[in-house]
Amino acid sequence: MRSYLAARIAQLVLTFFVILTLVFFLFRLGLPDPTSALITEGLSQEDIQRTRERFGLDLPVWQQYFVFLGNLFTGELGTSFHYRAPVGFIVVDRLLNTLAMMLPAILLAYTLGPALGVQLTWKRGRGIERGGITLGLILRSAPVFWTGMLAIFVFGVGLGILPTSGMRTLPYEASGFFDKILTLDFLRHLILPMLVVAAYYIALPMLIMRNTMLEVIGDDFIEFCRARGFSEARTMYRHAARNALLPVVTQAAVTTGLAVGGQIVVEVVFSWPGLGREMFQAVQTSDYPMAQATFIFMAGMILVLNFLVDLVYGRLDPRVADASVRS
Amino acid sequence: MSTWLRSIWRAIRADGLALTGLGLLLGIITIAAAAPLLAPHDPNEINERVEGVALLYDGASWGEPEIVADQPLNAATLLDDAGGVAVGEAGRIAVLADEEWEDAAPVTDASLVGLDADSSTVIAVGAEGTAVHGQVASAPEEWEVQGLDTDAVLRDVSVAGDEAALAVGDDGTVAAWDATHGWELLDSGVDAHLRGVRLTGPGEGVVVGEQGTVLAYADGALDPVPNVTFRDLLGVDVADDGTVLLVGERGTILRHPPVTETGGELSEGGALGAWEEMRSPESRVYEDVRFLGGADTALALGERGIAVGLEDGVWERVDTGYSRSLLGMGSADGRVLAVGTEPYQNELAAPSADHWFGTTHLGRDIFSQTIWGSRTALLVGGLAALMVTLIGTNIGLIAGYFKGRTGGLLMRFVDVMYALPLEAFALILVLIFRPSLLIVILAIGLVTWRTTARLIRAQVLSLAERPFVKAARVAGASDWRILYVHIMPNVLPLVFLQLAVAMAFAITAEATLSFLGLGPPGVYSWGGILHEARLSGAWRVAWWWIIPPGIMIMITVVAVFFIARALEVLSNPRLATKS
Amino acid sequence: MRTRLLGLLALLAALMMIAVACAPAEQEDEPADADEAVEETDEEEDDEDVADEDVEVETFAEIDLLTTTEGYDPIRYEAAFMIEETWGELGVDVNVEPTEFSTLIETFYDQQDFDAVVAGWSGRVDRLDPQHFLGTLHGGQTDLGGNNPGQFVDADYDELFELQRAEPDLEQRVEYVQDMQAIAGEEVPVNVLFYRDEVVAYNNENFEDFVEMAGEALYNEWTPYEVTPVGDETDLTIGTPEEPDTINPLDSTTVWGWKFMRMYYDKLIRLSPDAEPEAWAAESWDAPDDTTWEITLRDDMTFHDGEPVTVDDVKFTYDYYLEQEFGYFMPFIEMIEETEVVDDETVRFHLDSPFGPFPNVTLAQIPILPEHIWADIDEPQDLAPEDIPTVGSGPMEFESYDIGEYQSLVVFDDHFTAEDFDIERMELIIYADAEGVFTGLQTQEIDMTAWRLEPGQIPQAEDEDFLTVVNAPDFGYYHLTFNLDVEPFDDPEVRRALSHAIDKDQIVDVLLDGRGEPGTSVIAPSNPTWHNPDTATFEFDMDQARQILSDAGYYD
Repeated sequence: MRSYLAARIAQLVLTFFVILTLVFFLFRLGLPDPTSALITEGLSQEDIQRTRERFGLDLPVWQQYFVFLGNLFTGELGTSFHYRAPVGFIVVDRLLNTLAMMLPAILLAYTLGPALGVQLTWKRGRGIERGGITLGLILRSAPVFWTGMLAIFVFGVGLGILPTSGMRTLPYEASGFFDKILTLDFLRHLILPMLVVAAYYIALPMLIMRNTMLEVIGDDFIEFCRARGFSEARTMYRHAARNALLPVVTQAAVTTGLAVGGQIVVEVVFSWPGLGREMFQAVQTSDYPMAQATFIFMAGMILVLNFLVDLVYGRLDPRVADASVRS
Repeated sequence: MSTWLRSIWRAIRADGLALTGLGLLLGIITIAAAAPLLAPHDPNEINERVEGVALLYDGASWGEPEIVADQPLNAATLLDDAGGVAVGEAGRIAVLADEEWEDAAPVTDASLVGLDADSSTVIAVGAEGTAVHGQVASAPEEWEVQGLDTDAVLRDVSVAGDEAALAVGDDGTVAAWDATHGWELLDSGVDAHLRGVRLTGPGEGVVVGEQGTVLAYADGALDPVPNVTFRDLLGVDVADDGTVLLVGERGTILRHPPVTETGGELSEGGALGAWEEMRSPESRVYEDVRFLGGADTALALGERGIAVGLEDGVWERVDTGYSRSLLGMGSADGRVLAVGTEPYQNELAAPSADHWFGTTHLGRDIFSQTIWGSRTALLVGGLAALMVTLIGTNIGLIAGYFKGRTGGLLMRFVDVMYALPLEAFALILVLIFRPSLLIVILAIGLVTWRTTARLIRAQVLSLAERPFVKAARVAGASDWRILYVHIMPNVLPLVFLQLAVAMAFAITAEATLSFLGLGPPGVYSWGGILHEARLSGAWRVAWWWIIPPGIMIMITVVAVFFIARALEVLSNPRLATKS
Repeated sequence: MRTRLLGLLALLAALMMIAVACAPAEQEDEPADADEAVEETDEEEDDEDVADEDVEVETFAEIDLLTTTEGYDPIRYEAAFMIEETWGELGVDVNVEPTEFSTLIETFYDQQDFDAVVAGWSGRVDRLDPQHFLGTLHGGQTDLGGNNPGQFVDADYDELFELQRAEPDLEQRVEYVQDMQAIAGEEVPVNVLFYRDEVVAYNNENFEDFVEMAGEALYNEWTPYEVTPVGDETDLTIGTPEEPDTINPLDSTTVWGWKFMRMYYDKLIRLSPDAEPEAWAAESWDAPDDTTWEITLRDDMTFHDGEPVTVDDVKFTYDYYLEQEFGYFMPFIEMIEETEVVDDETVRFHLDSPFGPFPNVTLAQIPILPEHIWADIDEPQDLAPEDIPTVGSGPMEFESYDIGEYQSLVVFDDHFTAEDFDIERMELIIYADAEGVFTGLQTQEIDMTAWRLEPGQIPQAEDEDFLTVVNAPDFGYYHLTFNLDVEPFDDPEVRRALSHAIDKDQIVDVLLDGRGEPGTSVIAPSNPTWHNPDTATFEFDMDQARQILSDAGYYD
């Protein structure tokens, strides 16, 4: 087991390194020179040169690459061209903001979803099962930016009862992250984006739960429970569901990893100051350090959570992979 | 292959939802294929409407805009008996009598641009030097067309005391009329297009025109007023006490005090040297201006229904309840008749028989855009899914069969792909290579084959141990033959399932990229329609703009999901027996 | 390298190309629909009658027309497609390429690798002086990265440019400037497409008496002074989708940084709402000769930390900016040879060459920095955000700046203008986009917008009784720049013909709802001192466009 762990960690580090390299060169070679955006404001050639030196852009790309790796090793992510401030602090702040929206949404989806899945199995063969599946698939088909716009249209513009933009009402003096989110005002801002994301996520745990339950139900011990005279509800929730939960939990971990970078559009629609929106902006303005850092954080989250799933599961069971297909 | 298709069909037929899904998908494919036939409008066309509208102001409030002619109306005048006349394009003459409008039969084809009336005479002027003379009391059908000796468009006319009139027009054209001599062209001494004229008596008045042209008129002679403004002047009025108001482009309003106060004559250009530039609340084009009673109250109107009223020396916006171009106006006793409108873009129209899903902020037909959007969705969805399946299946097959170094290397590659945030990576690819249909397809296709590869590999791993593979190997079949002839048919159900799943993902991904403004430019796509709606800011009022494309995405994706469910049963028969 | 990356994809591309070619989803390629809108106007029909669709301008290669993405600026994006359509009617093949803004700027200015570009210059107070905009056509700025990427070089124009720069007499300078516009208008190296009104809104239930300035709309230096509270609210809250790049006065290169900083720094001269120079920290100024300017400093000023503002601070500031070679300000100060302290209240600037607009352009731009704080900072650009000094002597005092969220200022009670304020604080809420700003306006979270409303939002704002919509003309302009090094744009006849084939009225009417003006000169009509109203206008006239091309031998 220990050697397996060591191998897995080595593999993790290697994968991470490949992604770092990929991202670094993709941005350098693909995006326009970041100083060009400044020229509209009438910078002289000498000044452009100075700016380039200041951000280390005058070095050959391969040298920049080693500087980048070296800095990364010491936890230094560079200075954002746009904010003229260290990237690390901003990225961590944005990451927390994203999590503040995604985690409640995932929590909601992964408590409500499996419960609904159990209900569907219970009512199998009836119209309600069919209706549940259909509704679940419809929720999963509706693009989040569209449901987000509808939600804003109805609750924000139409009824005017919920804020539709940002994560708090300004001006606001907050000393730390928890000050920021432990307020009623934050909750009001959270409701719409959270519900939109949860509605999108809920179908997957529901359907996984149902599918796994269907397999479990046939097993002998369920028959045994019935023979013992347990109520249907007890059979379903206490015994069948418990055995079907593992794939759902696994899927929850995978979803969490993806969610960090996966919902740029929700952050855009709700003007949520999260990691995805920051990355979108950074790439558009050729803010390499910022774009790299956001991307590295996203990839890192996915890698770490997938790694944990792997650890729990030993080797990836094909069926678990199957479940992650639709994420 | 055909046996597989048959078993897919059987699986779909057995499942009501899958059948529904297939029906929906075929419907969308039909829509996409027949898009040019189904779309009633060019999706890119800025739809315009043309109508002649009249609005009445009774001294206190504005009435409802009324469509009184099928062509734009350019000029109007109010008569003393509460009646009114308006003239417009293609010789339209509309008459207001007893509060009822009548669209009279045209007496000329030429567009009529200017109109004025005194107690008994009414004169309209227009294109190709046309002048139409009539009696207020007679029906428009009896009015008489007179041709002036010019091809220029006459833009305005002013009638004084039934015996004299002055008309002005393009290229400095000025023509005077009197009851005895008829029309006679005058030399204005300018080339600018002249746009407005007002007579204060039979032989005295003011003419205005483009590039700030102002001319004082006196008994057949025109005297230029120097250095008024460089703005185009489109309308002029003179109050009873001699105060002059000029209006024009870019919210230009100029006032001149009565020349009698400064001891000059209105007819001397040099006397008009004390123009006051008034502060305008609007920056758009004023077409015309009228004093309402005294020299202290006035009303100016123009492009896009803008109207401003003068009260206590200050101009304030007036809400006419109309937002299309007002081109001409007439006034009497403090009442105003305003008419318009040029061909206007039919923007943000709610759904109607003409535009089933309404129009965008630029007057484009949303129904047609939605229809065309289905092509992009299916094209990108289909091709990207095909690419994903092609790459994913082959990598999965190879990695699963050649377990050693090749397989390991391939799977490490898959691991790297797994760590990439999908949406973010596709977005970066599109940004780097400039959005185009091809790049969008490639970006989606290149990042999503990983799951297919992993799943296929897992199945191949277990299949490779099965006896028939061993038998084939014993029989001397080559690796590639075993892989593609013996193993592949067994993973095909999974391949088809993955194809469906990939297609659903690709359609959503395309919509997402387009929504972020990274869609292929110049191509309509559902996500792109939503992008434009959000960008314009108008989606907050135009519900018809955001609902159709979203529903179409949802229907298409859910149809594919429904089909995928049946395919899932096919690839994993255990599911079928249990439910 | 980029091409190599692309090359890797070529294999897959080939397959896809075939598929794409088989299913043309691009609507531009579609012929106009059969059942055309019934309401076709006479004029349009005329056009089509004359339009000989078979005529192709054989000698033209396809023209790539670069523009912004729809997301960056929907107006420029749509305008490019409108131009594509009318040029197409002339038989000129146009390929519109919507490009990400930073890429566009790089291609246009740094690489000069373009045929024609739809771009824009923003109006900023220092650009009211014609120096900058005229400079964009100056032969000396054609280098890579320069402001004249279209490569327009005209000896007469360049000579006039030097003359006007040195001319101290206003009337004479106006004449030079107008002559330059006439040349540029006739040669059309740049076709000025339109000037777009800045349409902003404010909440009339909280404040009134806003000041409107061309190019700056309401978020200008004077609004905080002039606004009067209607109710109890004395904090003026402004919503903005843009924020300072930094609040380091030796690093900020955007208008959003300076719009904020100029409230807490003083300048020697301030420009009035009509852009006339007004005495500020300088009581008076004078030019004893062509190359010398002398100012007298007020004696009642202190910095926010209590230190007095002295002539030494003034000298230090100008020396410091020159020594640091701060690029953003170099065009304003590079002609200063020496700054001399004459006595306790007089500073003299010695210039190396005559510079007429010195008070308007230079003295009205440079903030006075406290010497006692900055003197010890050798590498000001390396300051960490939290170390950036925010001590000025301006009418307002810096209070806070939270990146991405919030900025605020309070009135400085010891300033010589403190009496003029009716408000106590000014704060800016930073939103993600125009959407967010508009929501803030509707929910009364903010009192005014710092940046323009989108066309679709304007009618909604007008419908709200508590909002007043303001149209401020801009003297910045949107333009189509031809690359004169590329055939056929080297031929002025072609440029003129194509200029006749741009329906600017339609762009303004349809895309801007009439809130703007078709363009003529690089010096806008809303800058009446310098604008030349007789600049060639090139009315939209397809027949004339064809005629010119035909006369020049482009049609067979």
